[in-house]
Amino acid sequence: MMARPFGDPGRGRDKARDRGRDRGRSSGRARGGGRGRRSAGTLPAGPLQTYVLAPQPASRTPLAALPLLAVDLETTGLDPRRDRIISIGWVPVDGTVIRLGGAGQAVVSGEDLGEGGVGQSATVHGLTDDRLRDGVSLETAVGMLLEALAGRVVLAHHAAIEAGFLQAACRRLWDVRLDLTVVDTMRLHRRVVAPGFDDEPRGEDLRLWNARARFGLPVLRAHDALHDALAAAELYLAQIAELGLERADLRSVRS
Amino acid sequence: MNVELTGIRDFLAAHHPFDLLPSAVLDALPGRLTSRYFRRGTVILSAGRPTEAVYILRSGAVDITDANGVLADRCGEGGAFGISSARDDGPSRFTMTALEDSLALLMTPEDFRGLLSAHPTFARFFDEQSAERLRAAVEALRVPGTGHEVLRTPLRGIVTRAPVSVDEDTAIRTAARLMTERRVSALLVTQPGGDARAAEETSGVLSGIVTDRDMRRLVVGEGMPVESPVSSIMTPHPITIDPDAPAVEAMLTMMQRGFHHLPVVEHGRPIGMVTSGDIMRLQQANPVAIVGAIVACQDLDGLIAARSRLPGVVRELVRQDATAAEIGRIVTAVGDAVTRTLLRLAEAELGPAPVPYAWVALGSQGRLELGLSSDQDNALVLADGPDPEAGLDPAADAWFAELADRVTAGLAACGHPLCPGDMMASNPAWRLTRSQWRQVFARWIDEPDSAAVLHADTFFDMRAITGGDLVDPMLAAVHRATAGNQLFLARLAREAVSWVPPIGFFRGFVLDRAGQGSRGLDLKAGGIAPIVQIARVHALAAGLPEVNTAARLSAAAATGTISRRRADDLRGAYELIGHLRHRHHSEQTERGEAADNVIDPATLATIDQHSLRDAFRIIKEAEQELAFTYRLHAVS
Repeated sequence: MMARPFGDPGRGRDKARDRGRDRGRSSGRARGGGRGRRSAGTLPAGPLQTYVLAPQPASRTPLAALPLLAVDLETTGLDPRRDRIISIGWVPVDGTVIRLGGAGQAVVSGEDLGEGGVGQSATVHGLTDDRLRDGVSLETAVGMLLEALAGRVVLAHHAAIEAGFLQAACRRLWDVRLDLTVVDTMRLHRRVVAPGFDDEPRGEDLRLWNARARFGLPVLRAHDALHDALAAAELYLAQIAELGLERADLRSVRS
Repeated sequence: MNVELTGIRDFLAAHHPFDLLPSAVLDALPGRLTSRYFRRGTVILSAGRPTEAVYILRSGAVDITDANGVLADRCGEGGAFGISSARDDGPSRFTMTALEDSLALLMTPEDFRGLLSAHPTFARFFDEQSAERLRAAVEALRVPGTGHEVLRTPLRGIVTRAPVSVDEDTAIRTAARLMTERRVSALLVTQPGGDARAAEETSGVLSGIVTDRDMRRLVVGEGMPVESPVSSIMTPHPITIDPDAPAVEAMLTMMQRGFHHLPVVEHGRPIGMVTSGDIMRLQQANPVAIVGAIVACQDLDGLIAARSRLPGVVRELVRQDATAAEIGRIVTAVGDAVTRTLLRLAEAELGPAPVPYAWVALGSQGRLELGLSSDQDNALVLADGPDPEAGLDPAADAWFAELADRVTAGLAACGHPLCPGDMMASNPAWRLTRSQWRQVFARWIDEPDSAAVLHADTFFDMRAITGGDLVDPMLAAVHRATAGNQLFLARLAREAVSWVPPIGFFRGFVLDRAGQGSRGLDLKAGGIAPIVQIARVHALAAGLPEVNTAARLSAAAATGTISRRRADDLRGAYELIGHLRHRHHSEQTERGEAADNVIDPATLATIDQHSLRDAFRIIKEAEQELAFTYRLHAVS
């Protein structure tokens, strides 16, 4: 572990690509997520309204002060249109501190999963239909997450899954298009393992547990939403330190 | 909300001392923590600053250095730091630097103090009043035992096998086959169980005993049909013994009645059988019996055979609850008996000694702390001739040279290797008349800087094995001369502090003060030797006659040359290290290996590692005090 090769964090950063990405994004990204199909004012009081009304961190927020929520979803499959959320785990990160006290978890009841139930996905996440019987409705589960997410940026490993499923759930539940600011530890890890312009990291290296191993982070129980969220949070802290980004701001890490 | 941070909870539960917290407290703990990551090289906490948290390392490694930049400890996974600053709400005495990329759990000082006040066993781990903690560790090391006097062991602890029994109706043939099959020479016969409820009370109750001898006499000799019930040849209502009776009682009963078997019966039902073989084996492990056998030996081979039972005795003593001090005394008693017997055998062949003499033990044997593998250190003190200045005449010296050669060679044959430093009576330098010894001691005491003094310390642990009346007055004079002799004591102290104990353990390695790790922990160099020397300085400073280390510390505390607290700490540390050493030796001899003092830290339980770390710190502090008292410099 001590002999692990570390590159100079700043070395060969893909500046051109960073610039390109920044151009494609409006710098004054709408705050408060008010770009849903319904305006915030028309939303009923509840978690969704709480989330939408809470001010999102500004894009110039330094990472040392950035509030994030590491999120992991366990799902029945990979397609947000067809597959369903089974469980959600989250843990807040304030700058470079993980707040374990804010960690949360919700298991979606089997009834909300439709006819298919958990099906074969149980072999991955270990949540059986029995266990899901004690769960809550999808609306309650997503509501719990949105409450925790208010004023925070989504942090996830391979965040497209989390964002896609969350947005699909919000459309289905409340007919709103959820606006999310996302930091993806898998994308960050691309910079860690392949700082050069032409370097193409092996997909294997980008997987959550391999990425963690690079930093000597401890083994956690995998495929449990809460522990996967914690795993992503810890990985994020390691990446920020490794890449020397403590003084950078949100723009340098968001997807 | 059902939040199960089981990963964090299980991590805490797997590491001492958090494993001491009640389950419900552990469940709630993760929710009160935060987590931070430190890149290697990061200073997590600086000396002189208050800590914001107690840090518990989840991964990586952190170096803990004192205000002078000297490594004080190294913390790995599961280790905690920032403790004293958090507890006392004061500045940190140490600087904590990430040696590797590290992930830590942080507990607020308030929460930590809350745990300390609510959970005394948890708090004790962080208590720097170490004597009590070490005592607890030593207690925990010992398997709950039954008293170490072997023959007082209750039979319950000896009878381990279930009894072999049949009921009264069983045919003799079946019973005989069972005896052959189970390889027993006696069978218990019990009342049969029946359908009737009344039978329940008597079912399984002992009714008789059948032995090999009954089979031979009644079946083979008198032609009793083998189809007859076993009850027809059994001895009914046999003499039995209670499981709580001591082994010695079973032995006496069997001896007096000429039995070889004694059923052990509780509430009418047999729970086992004790045989004369069991008692014999017990006696084999009885140090008194070994000493008895040794003094009765008529030749070296017999002596070697008798002495070879000692490792088994030590194993048994370790398994039971003997203290390291007790084991040291027993091994020494056997060593002394071997020495006396060798002297007797040699004298029988060489004829009477030309002048009265004393055979003296030095070093560990002198201190009553002999180990199974200890080198021998000994010397001869000879009575002065008519002219003390003349020394011994050559013919007499030749006699003693021959005596010394025989005894030292005999000791080596019995398991105590020759001293590599040649501190033995066979060396003419250590075969002197009493007047010559007085001069030698005077030179050691008065000219402490001469080269001759080097390694002479062990002579101050002199104890007469024979001829005490010749030696004791001489030693009394020595002790009068050392008391308060600053120059001499400073030299001894310098020697003592030159033994540097390790810091502790890190990832299965012993961590020394240079931050280097090694695979073997030398219990002698890292613990026993420095404590022996520290105790020696304190005892000689007060002119005390004691030679045993624990006795020296107690006596020195009584005179005030060392604080009671420090004496207790050192005795606890000595007992702990001594116990680990005896355990190590007995494991080695059981495997048929030669006993040494080097243990692989990976074989030590975490709790032993923590206790040893305490012991090392106690030694270091005692050395620092010596260095201060005797104004030794260049001591870190």
